[in-house]
This record gives sequence, C-alpha cells and structure tokens, in this order.
Amino acid sequence: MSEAEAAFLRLVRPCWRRLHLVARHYVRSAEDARDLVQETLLRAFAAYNPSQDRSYREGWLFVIQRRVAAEWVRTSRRRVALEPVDHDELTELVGTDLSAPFDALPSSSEEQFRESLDQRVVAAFDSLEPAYREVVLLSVAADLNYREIAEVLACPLGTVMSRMARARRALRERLAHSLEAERRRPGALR
Amino acid sequence: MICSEARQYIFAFLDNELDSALSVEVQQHIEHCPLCARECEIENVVRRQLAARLQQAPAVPEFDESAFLSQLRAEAAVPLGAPRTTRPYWKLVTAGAIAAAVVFVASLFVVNSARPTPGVSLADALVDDFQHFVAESKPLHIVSTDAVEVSEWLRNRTSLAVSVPPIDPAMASLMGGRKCKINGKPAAFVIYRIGDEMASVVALRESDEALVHMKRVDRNGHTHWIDHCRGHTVLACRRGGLIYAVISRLPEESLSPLMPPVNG
Repeated sequence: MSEAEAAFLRLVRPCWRRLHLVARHYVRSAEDARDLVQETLLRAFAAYNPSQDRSYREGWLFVIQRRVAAEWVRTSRRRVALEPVDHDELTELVGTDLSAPFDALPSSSEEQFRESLDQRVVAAFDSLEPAYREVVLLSVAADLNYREIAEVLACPLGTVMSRMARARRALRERLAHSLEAERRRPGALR
Repeated sequence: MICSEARQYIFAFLDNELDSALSVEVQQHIEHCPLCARECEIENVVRRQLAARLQQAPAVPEFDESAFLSQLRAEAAVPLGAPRTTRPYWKLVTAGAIAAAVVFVASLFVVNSARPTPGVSLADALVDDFQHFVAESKPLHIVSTDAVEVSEWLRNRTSLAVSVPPIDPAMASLMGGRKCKINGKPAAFVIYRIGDEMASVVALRESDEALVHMKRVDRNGHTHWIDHCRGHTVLACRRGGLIYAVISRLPEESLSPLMPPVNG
C-alpha cells in the first residue's frame, strides 16, 4: 500500500458511515447512495495529493460528495432526492422572525411527546425546503460544524448560522402543526 | 439578554457554535428564564429524535478496505464522471477471482462511447480499450450470466439502450458488464468467455464518423463492418441507434453470433 493510499484511508475511515448517511438523503435509493459515495471517493482520491502542502479535512469529502450530487441533478436527475442549490442561485429563505416565540407544541407527557415525535420528525424533516434540509442534514448526519458546513455549501458562515436557525424553526413549526392536527383528530387521546 | 434575543441564538447555542461571550449570555438567560429553558429542553428532545432517525442506516455497507483499494487502483485510469455502482462492483472486487478469471476468459461485449480522436480509428480505440481491460484485470461492474439483468443494469447506468442478446451458453458464457466514459460520453461493455479466449462487446452511441475506417460488408441482406488490428478482430454493426462492436482475438466467424440480432 502506498503512503498516499494509507493516508487516504485514514481520512475516509472515520467518515465512511457519515458519507453514506448523507448520501442516502441526496439520492432516492440505498443503491444509489452507495454509488454516490463510491463516485465521491474515487474523485477524491484522484484529486488527493498528500505531498502538497495542505491538510485534508473530513469536510473536503462532503464538498466533493455534494458536487457529485449536483452533477447527478444534470445527468441522472431521477436518482436525486435532495438537489443541492448553489449559494449564488439561492434566494435566501427569509420571512422567519428569529426572535419570535416558538410555535407551541401540544402539551403531553414527556413519554407521549417522544413517541409522537418519533413518528413525525422524519416526515417534518422531509417536508423542509431543500436548502433547510441540507443544512440540517450536514449538521446532524454528517456531524459537521458550521464552519465545515459553510465550506460544503460554499457560503459564508453567517449564512449557515441564519439558515440553520430558520431550518430548525421550520422543523419545530411542522412538528407543531402535525401534532396539533393529530390532537384535533376525532377519537385522538387528549 | 431578553427572551427575543435569546431565541435568535438558541440553536447556535445548542450546537455550541456561539463565541464564548455570547454563549455565556445565552446560558445565563436560560438559567434564569423557565420559558426559554423549556424551549431548550424541547429542542434537545427534537434534535435527539431527529439524530436517531437520520443516523439509522441499515444499508450502510462495511468499509472493506482491501476492496476499496482494489477499486481505487482499477479505476485510476478510468475517466471520471459517471456515477458508478457499488454493490456488484464491490462484490466483484472482493471476490477478486472474477477479475483474475477475466484474464483467462473471452470477452465479447465491450462498450466505449468512444468518438475516435482524429487519426485514430474506432477499431484502434476499441482494441486499445480491450487490451487495457485484459492487461489490468479490471473488474466488472456487474457480474451476471443473465443477459436481461446485464442489459437492464447497463441501460440504467449509462442511458444507452443496450440490449445484450441471449447466447447459447455452449457457445459463449456471459460474465457481466462494465460501464465507462470516454471523452465524457457514456459507454458500456459486456464480457464473454469463449473457450480460453475473451470477447468484449462494446456499445456506444452512433455517430457518422465512427465506422468510416472499417470495411463495410453486405451479406445476406445485412450490413456490418470489420477491421483487424494488432491481432484482434473488430466486428461492428448498427442497432437501435447504437453501434455494437465485438472485439476478440478470435476470427470473425466465432464472433458473429455475438452480434445483436437485427430485430434486437
């Protein structure tokens, strides 16, 4: 094994699983997710040059993964579930007053709350606008910090902070509506 | 700090992304504000639930490092761009034996959407590709003896309407297929074993200039093109908007059964 291969494996090893987790949301099937990760890593290795005076961080792999997913939008659109949107093309999703009170969630016991969330949280996440979904995905599934997310999205750090807050608020809002609708359903437990 | 200010920072605070001074301010507010403290609790429950669900991934394959390295080495010379498949590819690489066996096998179905570069005939390009494939023991992307399955896989992965004809196994054994890109164009091929030889059948998108260097043969009401290059026979035909080319060291008469039928 060459030094470059060994170094590349050390880079990939800790984020192998997270690359798949994120890929699974960029595309529609588990098989396509494996394809996406494979393509990502092949491209990454082709560009990998540890002799260069630069350090490679995990976020770099997610940058490439997003780039490949964006390319698939053009070449294999039917495989893509979450379309990466260029920051330049994105009209920042505004309209949310970040200082406003949060949507109230129906009162329930802690246990009921957790159970009801478990059934709805993914649906609420999936209903978010792509730009919101992606920023949450990179935080939760990829475990990237805001600076790394900014690198992946090619946008300023402040944009990540703002978008994350709006995304989290939107998620709370969707959950509140979903839980409230359930509460109003005839025959639902109060 | 008041509640409306704290709410602006609460998510970044929980993500540990605030600078220390602001983080202290939010922390102090939460410690003295039951409403905001409650919101933090709720948010923590939501994000734990979401994390648990987003981090569930039963389909994540094991990281097989030796297979991964084989793949890196095998793909090093392949033009990048097309999405690749993992499942059959990893299985093949892991097996290893298939790639090795390919060296002893005859391949019939090679695909290169190669638009020949000026001065280089299609036959030259295809034989180059075939020899490279054999010499490098490159793995197949899909390993299957089922012509329908291989056809479907290649169609889905290359956008080429590839049709692999069923062949009498006594005459040739289908091993599988592989896709690639040349000059950014999608291409694919299938591999057959014929005795101790390999044959590759390549499918590439039709173009006017592709066959100009080859000899046209009209026989029994059908047209095909033939060329010989570095000890290899290249036999081509046009079918359904594609060019199919068979490449092998075997003679023409051994290869003609691998050509897709006219109505295929």
